[in-house]
Amino acid sequence: MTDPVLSLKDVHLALDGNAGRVEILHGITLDVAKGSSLGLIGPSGSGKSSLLMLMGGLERATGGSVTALGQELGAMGEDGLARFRRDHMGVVFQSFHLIPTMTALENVATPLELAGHRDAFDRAAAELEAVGLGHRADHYPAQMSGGEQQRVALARALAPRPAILLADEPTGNLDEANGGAIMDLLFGLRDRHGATLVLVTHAPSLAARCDNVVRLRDGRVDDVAREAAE
Amino acid sequence: MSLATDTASAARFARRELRGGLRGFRIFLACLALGVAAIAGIGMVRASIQMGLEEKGAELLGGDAEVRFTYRFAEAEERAWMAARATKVSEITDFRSMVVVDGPEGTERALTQIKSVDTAYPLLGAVTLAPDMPLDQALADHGAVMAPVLADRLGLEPGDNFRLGTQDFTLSALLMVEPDNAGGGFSLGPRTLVRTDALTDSGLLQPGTLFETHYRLQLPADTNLDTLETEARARFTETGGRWRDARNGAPGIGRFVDRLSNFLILVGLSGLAVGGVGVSAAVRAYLATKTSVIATLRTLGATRRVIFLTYFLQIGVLSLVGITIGLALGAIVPLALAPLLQSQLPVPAVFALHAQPLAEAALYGALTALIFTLWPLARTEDIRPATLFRDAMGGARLLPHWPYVATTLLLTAALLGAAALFSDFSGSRSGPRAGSLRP
Ligand SMILES: Nc1ncnc2c1ncn2[C@@H]1O[C@H](COP(=O)(O)OP(=O)(O)O)[C@@H](O)[C@H]1O
Ligand SMILES: [Mg+2]
Repeated sequence: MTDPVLSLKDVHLALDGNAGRVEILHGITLDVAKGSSLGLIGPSGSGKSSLLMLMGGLERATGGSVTALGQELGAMGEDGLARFRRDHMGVVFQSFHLIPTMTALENVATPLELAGHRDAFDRAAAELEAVGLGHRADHYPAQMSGGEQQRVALARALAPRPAILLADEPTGNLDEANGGAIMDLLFGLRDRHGATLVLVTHAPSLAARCDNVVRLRDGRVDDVAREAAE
Repeated sequence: MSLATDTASAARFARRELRGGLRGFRIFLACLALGVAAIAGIGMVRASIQMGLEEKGAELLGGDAEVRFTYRFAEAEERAWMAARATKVSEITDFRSMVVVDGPEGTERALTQIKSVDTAYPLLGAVTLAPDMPLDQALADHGAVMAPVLADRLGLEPGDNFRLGTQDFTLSALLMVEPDNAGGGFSLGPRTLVRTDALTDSGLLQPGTLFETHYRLQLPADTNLDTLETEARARFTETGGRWRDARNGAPGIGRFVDRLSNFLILVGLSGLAVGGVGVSAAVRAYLATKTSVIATLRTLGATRRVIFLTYFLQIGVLSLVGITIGLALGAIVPLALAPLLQSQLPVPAVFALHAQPLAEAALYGALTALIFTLWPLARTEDIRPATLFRDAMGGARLLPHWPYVATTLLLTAALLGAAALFSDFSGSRSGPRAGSLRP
């Protein structure tokens, strides 16, 4: 791995919960190479989401360092991290998190608007076409199925052409057919745009589509499953 | 991103967020609108009365100007000075005394405020008597008229006799309207009106007794009141004469109205403050439903400024709606009630749309909305995108960031300052013109 897009060194995360301070991640070290895909698997509660949040600057490490595109995330302020995500990262959630008062088109346009793109709506319309929802542009999230909402969320995450795509169990709330379609779309778009992907999933079959797989157990890396076949 | 770009994005997001309509904001709007309406309404009534007092100043004063002396009549040179400047002068005395009635069951007494007049009275307006008759006729031959309440209390009817001091009088009629009743409903005793000549043998206007004399002047139309006031001040400074003119015919009422409405404005402000608590709670509740939207926007790259502006603009639009409703209510209700209010008020009032009290109320409303929504809005800064992945919120700080605390304190100071300033202005509107000629 010569050119890591994401680099974690001895990362610790402790959170103050109701029952006092909880150690969630205990010294994680891993690199994600440019253009590669990493599957994060592990049992529920093993720290997969937490690790993904650290990579996205959505959570701060309490020890060690997280570097993305050569920049140390721990050194950035909250707004600096927001701008960094806006310019370099797309995030897809398990529960979609579309903004309910916005149409599909407006949801996709939002990160482009935040980046100050004048052609935000034209670009957003093209992204919606790319996920097969051009005809639903004026529909609100509540008027769409789960699978459709996740496709909008995918279009929103990829519209700014981020270098890094972070996805947290994107099919966790979908049935098998819809889930499979989303995954095909996700990998297809990623291949087309060449983004580096980190995918959290607890389905080993989905993880198998990634170049690398890391298994977490109780906040530690369990084993590096395999290198990519290709 | 520049502030302009941030504001533009925030404005678009805010507009989309408000698509839900005003449904969730009834309490917010009601609290703000009622507070603003109360203040606007009170201000409107006050302005109406002030304008009424200004327009009716001469009538209330009983002349274009007045020189007043205590415990004495004007000297010959003083009369000459007044006569030289006025087209007409009317001399009036005013003092308190007892009405005494000798009846079959003994002697009845009641306190009265006596006004004795010359034949020139009234220079302006007209006295209304019941039964209807000319004032001249009613006051001839030791005739007198008195307020109905007083006659009632003493059981007197037209034709009955009573005493003032050592002089007998006959009640000829009841005094229904006294045009220069500047004391309004606030004078100390009910009125008895007689001729000054008729008091000669009463023993009531001797040197050493307590009485005031008023010299009402009817002035030529081209008189410059400022110049005349200055001249009067110079002329009467040494001798204790006091000046008043039609620009403020009833400073007592003016001050009373100012004090009363300042008090009511304070009540309105307290109402607004209570409403502000409701406004604050409504905004908190609204923002609580927006946690995940805010966290999503943060994830997508919105800075804290964009988030703050997005919700600040929404609350701003809602505040404008609330303030507008309040102003409309505050303007319309007094106008609608004008006939009723006018008949109940002891003073004249000109009901119209007065801009200043509405502007004041709008300012109070805007400041209140800012003061009570800034802190909840500032809390949007503490919402971290991590909330999208887990329910537990990070430890909420006790106070918002210091700029919000400082701004809130500044705004509160501005609100109190505005309240103080406006009360002071209203006070001084009548203040300096109540010109005592004493320095
Ligand atoms: N706010 C929080 N405070 C304390 N502990 C938390 C908090 N959020 C999650 N955890 C704990 O952190 C651990 C890892 O959670 P998470 O990263 O969501 O795991 P996964 O995504 O693998 O299911 C779990 O044990 C969970 O209970
Ligand atoms: Mg998870």
